[in-house]
Amino acid sequence: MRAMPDRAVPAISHAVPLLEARSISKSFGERGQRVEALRDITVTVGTGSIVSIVGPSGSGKSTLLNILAGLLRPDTGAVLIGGEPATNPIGRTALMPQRDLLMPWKTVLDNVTVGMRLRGISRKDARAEALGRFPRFGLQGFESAYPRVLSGGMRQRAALLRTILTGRDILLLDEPLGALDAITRMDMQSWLLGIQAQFGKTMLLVTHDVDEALYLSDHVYVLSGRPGRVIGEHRVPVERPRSYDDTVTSPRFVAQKRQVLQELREGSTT
Amino acid sequence: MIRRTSRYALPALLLVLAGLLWQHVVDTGTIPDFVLPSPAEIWHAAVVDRDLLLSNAVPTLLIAVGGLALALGIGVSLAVAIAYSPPLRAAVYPLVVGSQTVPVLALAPVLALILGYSILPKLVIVCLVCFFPITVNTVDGLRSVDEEMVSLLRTMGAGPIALFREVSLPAALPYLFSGARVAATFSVIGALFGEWAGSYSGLGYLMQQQQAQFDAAGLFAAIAALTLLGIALFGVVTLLERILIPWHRSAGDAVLRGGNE
Repeated sequence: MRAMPDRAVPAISHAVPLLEARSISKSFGERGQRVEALRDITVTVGTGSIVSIVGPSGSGKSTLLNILAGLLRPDTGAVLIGGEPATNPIGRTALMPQRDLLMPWKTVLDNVTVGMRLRGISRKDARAEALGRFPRFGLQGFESAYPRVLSGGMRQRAALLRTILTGRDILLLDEPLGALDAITRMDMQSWLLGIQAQFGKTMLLVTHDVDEALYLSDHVYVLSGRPGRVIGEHRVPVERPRSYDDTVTSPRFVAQKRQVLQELREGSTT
Repeated sequence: MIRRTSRYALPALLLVLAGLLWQHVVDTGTIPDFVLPSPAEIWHAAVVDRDLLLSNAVPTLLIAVGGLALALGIGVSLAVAIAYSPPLRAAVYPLVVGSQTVPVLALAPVLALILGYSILPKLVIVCLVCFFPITVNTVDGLRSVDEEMVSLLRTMGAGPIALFREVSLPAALPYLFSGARVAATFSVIGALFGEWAGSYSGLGYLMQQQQAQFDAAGLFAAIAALTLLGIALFGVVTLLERILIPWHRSAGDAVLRGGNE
């Protein structure tokens, strides 16, 4: 197993990380039968980068995202945004949960603009901005459709558009492509990279797919099984834009994947 | 699978068959026609009494619709209170359930005694039989809200009022309409109870007159009119549902469309 990176001197340091989870621990449940979900997690996300967290089920990945989004409070540790401790980070980041959570009672257009409307932007302005994005998100022609008619891929793209239109710089994506079939997923990964480059967003994404993490990210954190601890950190030194086939078949990628898989296997048995 | 064309044909066929059997039983004298009038006699009575039926259907319909509207207002308010306030839930929910064990038929004359022969006691009766399905369903709807959706909207800055408007209310509407459809069919029965307890008009009043005159055919014609009122109200509520919550396809909708989505 790879040695734990020294917390005082991170393996890869960003001058001022836009988002940082610092020594976060979290347990659930009552005294006596407490379940430890996260133990001393430190993750940093540099401005404009994509960082992935991979880990087995039960490693507390979603819990970590909920803490960063401000929906849960850590027992110990802190969330830092722009280097400043954020005591109440709710509304500072945009969360895209695992389920698309499109509201069945709203049209696609009203669904993707809900964040803007809650920010106080007028319906007219919100719609105008959203409509301009529909072609890029492959949703043209479905503006006034209800979500039930959308395919899985379209639902995810609508959910991502909703996330981007919240206007936050930091996107927290919880298995954004997890519900998709393999082919759609591959297409969506490349598409997601294009979207990230176009909008210049900072992304922290959670996945259990090692290929996806390495292909999309500048930096990959490997979490252990419960309680989740960081058991590996990897920088992915591939220039952008990345071609899917070239990237995932390169010897360097394969070697890194082997290492991550090994960490995951060891981490889930400890 | 049932074809679309048969959506009304099958129940109509069943009804016709039952009618023919009924006619046969009365024609052969198995049951005397002053006890059970034949369908032909009932039809005849309905045609002869059509003005009487129509003029008496109006007050009954007004009572049913008015009571239903009252029940919607009170039922939904109670549901919101029960869903959002634990003390109110503890205090009110048992009483709401208890209210349904009150024998409405026995209560109606008492209300008529207190409130007179006006429309008021009848509205109270209709409201009493109608609010329950609305309240119970709406409470279920408000509690069915997806907590993750609430969390997501909170990260977008939604407060309690925005959450109610954007998530809880629309999520509860299909449930509310389920309750309202049941209530719509109850409302006619409630109006009838109210009229029986004391009135000078309405189908309930008409039925009492017919009963006193042993006019069995007229009585059945009035019952048929009441049934039609109930079906019409059910249809109106379902139509409203389709207009107000177009994203939702309900069971009532399936009935109107023939049950084969």
